[in-house]
Amino acid sequence: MGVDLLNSMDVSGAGMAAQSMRMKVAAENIANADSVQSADGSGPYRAKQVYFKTVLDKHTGMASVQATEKPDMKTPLEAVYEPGSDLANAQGFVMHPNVDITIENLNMHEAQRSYEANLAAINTAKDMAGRTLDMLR
Amino acid sequence: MPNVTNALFHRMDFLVARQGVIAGNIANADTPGYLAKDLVDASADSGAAAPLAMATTDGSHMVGADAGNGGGAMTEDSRFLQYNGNSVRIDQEMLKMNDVQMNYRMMTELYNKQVAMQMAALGKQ
Repeated sequence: MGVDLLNSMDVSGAGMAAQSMRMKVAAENIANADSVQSADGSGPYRAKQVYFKTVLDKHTGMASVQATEKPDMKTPLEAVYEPGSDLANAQGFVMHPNVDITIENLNMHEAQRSYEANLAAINTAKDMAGRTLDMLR
Repeated sequence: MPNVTNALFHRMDFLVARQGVIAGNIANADTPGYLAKDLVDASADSGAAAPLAMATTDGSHMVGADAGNGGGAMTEDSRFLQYNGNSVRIDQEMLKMNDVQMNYRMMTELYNKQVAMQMAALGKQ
């Protein structure tokens, strides 16, 4: 019985880690929304995407989660007319990152809400475990 | 008296297993294609089965009972699908979690009362 509660907390912990990554990626994307030069010089910054995946634990049957981040190479970059810039191409356009600030804001809010939900789940499991221990007194 | 304790422990096992399923739902609230799951108590002898009756009529597609689930049967909810195929509703999970917590509290309180009663009976001998 106690082992199941600890497994629940592990699952909620994994959920919190996944939402933390989501929050971090949203912050990175927002901060780099105008980074026309990436760190390795290969062009403008590419908005990162977070991918969630269910991880089934074979022993306990519990559904944990894992998040990975990858740069979004599919969404097209934004071309902004800046003929005076050093980075402007022949037509006078500078390529800006494919970051959508609105979506990143939404991601941030959702990540926070989900993070708090996972935290509530941990607290519930902790409360139940505490009461089980109290039974021994 | 021992039978009541067994029923209590069985109920607590089920509640712990259900909490695990709810934790899995919340952790996967943003996973595409993930369907919200729930545990339904297979044994309907306890009076607390009444609030769970809502889960049985609401859920769909019984996946089958499993002893590892604390005697409960897993159901999957595919009604309220989001654009990415996810069917987890955080507010519903919060309500379920509250239900589990209250029931678990009740079980531990009942057990403590039982022990107190037995102690009192021993004390009076």
